[in-house]
Amino acid sequence: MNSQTTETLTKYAQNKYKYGFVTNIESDRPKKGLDEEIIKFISQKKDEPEWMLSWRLACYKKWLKMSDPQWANLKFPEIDYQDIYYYSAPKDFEEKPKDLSEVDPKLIETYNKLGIPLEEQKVLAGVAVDAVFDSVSVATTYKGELEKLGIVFCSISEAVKTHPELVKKYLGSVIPPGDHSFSALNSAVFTDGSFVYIPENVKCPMELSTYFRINAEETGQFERTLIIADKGSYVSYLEGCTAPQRDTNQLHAANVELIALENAEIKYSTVQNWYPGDEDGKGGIYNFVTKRGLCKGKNSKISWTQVETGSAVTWKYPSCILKGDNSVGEFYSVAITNNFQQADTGTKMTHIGKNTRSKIISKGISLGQSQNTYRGNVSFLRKADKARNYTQCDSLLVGNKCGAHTIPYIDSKNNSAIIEHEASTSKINEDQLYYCRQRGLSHEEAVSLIVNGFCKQVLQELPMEFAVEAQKLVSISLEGSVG
Amino acid sequence: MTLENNFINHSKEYIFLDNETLSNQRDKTFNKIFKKNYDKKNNESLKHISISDLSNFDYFYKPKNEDSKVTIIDKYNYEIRVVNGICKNYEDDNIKIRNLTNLDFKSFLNQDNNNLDDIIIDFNKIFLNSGIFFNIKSNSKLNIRLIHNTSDNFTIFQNNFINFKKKCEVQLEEYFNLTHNSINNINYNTNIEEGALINHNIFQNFSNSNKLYLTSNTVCEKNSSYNQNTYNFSDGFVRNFHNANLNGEFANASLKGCFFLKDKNICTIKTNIIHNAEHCVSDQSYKGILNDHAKANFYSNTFVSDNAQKTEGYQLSKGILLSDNCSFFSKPELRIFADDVKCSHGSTIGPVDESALYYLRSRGINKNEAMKMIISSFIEEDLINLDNNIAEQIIYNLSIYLNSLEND
Repeated sequence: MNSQTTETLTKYAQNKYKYGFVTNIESDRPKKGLDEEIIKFISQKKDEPEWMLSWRLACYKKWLKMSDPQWANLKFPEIDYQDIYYYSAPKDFEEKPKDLSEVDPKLIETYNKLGIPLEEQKVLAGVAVDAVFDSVSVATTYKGELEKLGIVFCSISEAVKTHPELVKKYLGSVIPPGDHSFSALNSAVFTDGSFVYIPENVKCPMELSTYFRINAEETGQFERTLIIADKGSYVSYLEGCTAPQRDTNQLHAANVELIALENAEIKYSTVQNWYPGDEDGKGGIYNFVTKRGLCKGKNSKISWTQVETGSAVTWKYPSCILKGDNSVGEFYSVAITNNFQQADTGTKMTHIGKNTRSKIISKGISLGQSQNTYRGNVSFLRKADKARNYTQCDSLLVGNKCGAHTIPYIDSKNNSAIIEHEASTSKINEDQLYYCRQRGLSHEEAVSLIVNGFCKQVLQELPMEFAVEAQKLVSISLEGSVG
Repeated sequence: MTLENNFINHSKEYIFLDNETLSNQRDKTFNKIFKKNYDKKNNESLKHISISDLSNFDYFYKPKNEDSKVTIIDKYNYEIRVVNGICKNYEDDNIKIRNLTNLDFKSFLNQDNNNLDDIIIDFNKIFLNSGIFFNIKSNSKLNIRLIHNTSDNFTIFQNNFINFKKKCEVQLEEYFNLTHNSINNINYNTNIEEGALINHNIFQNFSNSNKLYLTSNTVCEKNSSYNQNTYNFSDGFVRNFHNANLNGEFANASLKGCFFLKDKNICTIKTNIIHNAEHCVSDQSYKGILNDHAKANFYSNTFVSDNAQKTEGYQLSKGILLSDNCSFFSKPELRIFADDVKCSHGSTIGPVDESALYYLRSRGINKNEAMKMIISSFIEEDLINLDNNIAEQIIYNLSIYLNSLEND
């Protein structure tokens, strides 16, 4: 490595987390730890019906018998589940604000600091925001317009009350609570999240969006998102988050379930920029997310796009089960790790139906002393005639203390199915760097340009509203270091 | 017979009985398997085989070496026949061959695979009953044919040491002509010294009553080169597990192979290359054709340690599935800790190319012939660099395999 790169690297390493601040809001929370009492408390707080509570308790019993999954290439201290608060909500939740002016001004201030003022967003971007602050929805905008089309977009706790038949039918149908310990844990203690239902033949006119924000110290966030796209419908959903700077590790175990019925399409985009810990790897968020989509009907399509730049530990595999004939699954991912961050992320495409197709594009960039792993599973079951998969996973290494790993699992049981997989690992191309420098770009700009080009295939999949934020994030992650 | 019975009844046949350290190690290994304390992750390559099936066998071994011999065809060509894991002791200017004795415990103790935690290697340690020392002297240029035979339903647990001295150039061809119902658990420890160039072709073909577990662990020193090609036409179960450590600069290693499976065959391949030095090149590439109910697993791994800059590491797996009931699993893994590297892997699994088939058929070639042409061309590139002798064998066996497709 030349001295310039070393220099810029050091500069980058000193680049502090920009979104670190804490809003002081009194939290209403029970004691630490997890037992049946806590689950009953959460359920009671949410005013849930009896069947929901018994489902939670059944999941809790399952969780007790399970141990954490071990397959990931991650190192972190054992999680003490009894040292975490499982419920926390802003105090004024009991009287839910009717519009934005009633929302705690401190919350609004937080959003302003993040650069996502709700008012502005309403006007400019036309995005309906179901903002989650400390696990409870505080503001839902554009609801009326969506209601006209029959679209349901609300928090999951509301949906339990208003649409129990849908929740009962689909909750846990894609991610069975017994799948692994994080899914069981989430099923037992989930506090909030979004619920979306798109009726038959409705194309959702706007991008639905939720901003998550972890705020109260030592509060595990257990979000639960359920999106159902009925026959012939379309929805694009955005998820993004930034978190304040903390010293203690925060646990996050979200579950996201997508169900696409016949001819339906769901596009799910994520930008994740949670506190990754400081330069010494202290603090940061543990992110154990289970995301899974089921292409249930014929000709359905589910597409995952993610930009991962934050979290101390990322454990995340957005997956697709391609059950309906002719269904399509897509996965686009950019994962950037720096300092002591560890990411083990990838996808799982299970082809069950005939003519199912999937595409995986994964870009990993490791800097500092981080470890970045792609782990993907593509399997063709016996009846997946003429199924196709194309996988491309590329890794870029900057510095010689980081690691980039690629661990694909490829399994074919059908002789008419075709799998193509390719992966490469390299450093930034010297020729490209030279070319850019020759044309008057500084070293930083050149590296930034190359990295942006490296990620472009994925970033262009993001919806407009998100692409700007994502690009900003990528350049922040590289700023002062490699461009 | 269960593992425990075998262990108790046949513990006297172990080769290093008089050495206390090794005996203790052996007891420990046995207990590990017996109490199921082994690492499941390391044994994932045994996906389609239950470990209890593996450990249930009838241990039977008598050292008989009546047919083993070393034939010197001319100054550069040797033929070595190993029968039941035993060879004839021999030495000349070029090579030295001898059977393992109790005095060799030190090499056994220090071998690299001691910490691999692999069940098949552990079996080899527990029941070890034979072994051979090969020494190829420096600057010698040789062609060696190594033929493995069995003369009864033996269970052979063999641990071999091969040492290629400086600047030797060797073309090593290894044949497994197994008969009867034998189990062959063969473990190689190969050391390739500076500047040595080794081509190692392995030919596996035997009936389904036989089992072969072939493990190799190769250490490559500076400027050395190791090319391994494995051709598997067997009906019996084969596990190939090949390891290479690139410890010296400018060394290169390639682990390649082809397999042709039919009926209910299972084939498992695991390759692993560790880059410990700069400017090394590695290649892992396997091709397979599967028919009927055959199953294949291919695990490859490239590990680049943080000081191994300027590394090039490639992996490739290609599978053709000919029937509805066969399956192919592949897991090409890259673990990279250095930044100035070029590493890649590719993997494809699919049927025979429809458009190629259509092209040939539209020119009046019948379907079977067309299939044969496409499959032959699939492995053509691997046959170009081969010696006549082994190439003939492969082409002959390939035609048998292709003809068996016709009958379906």
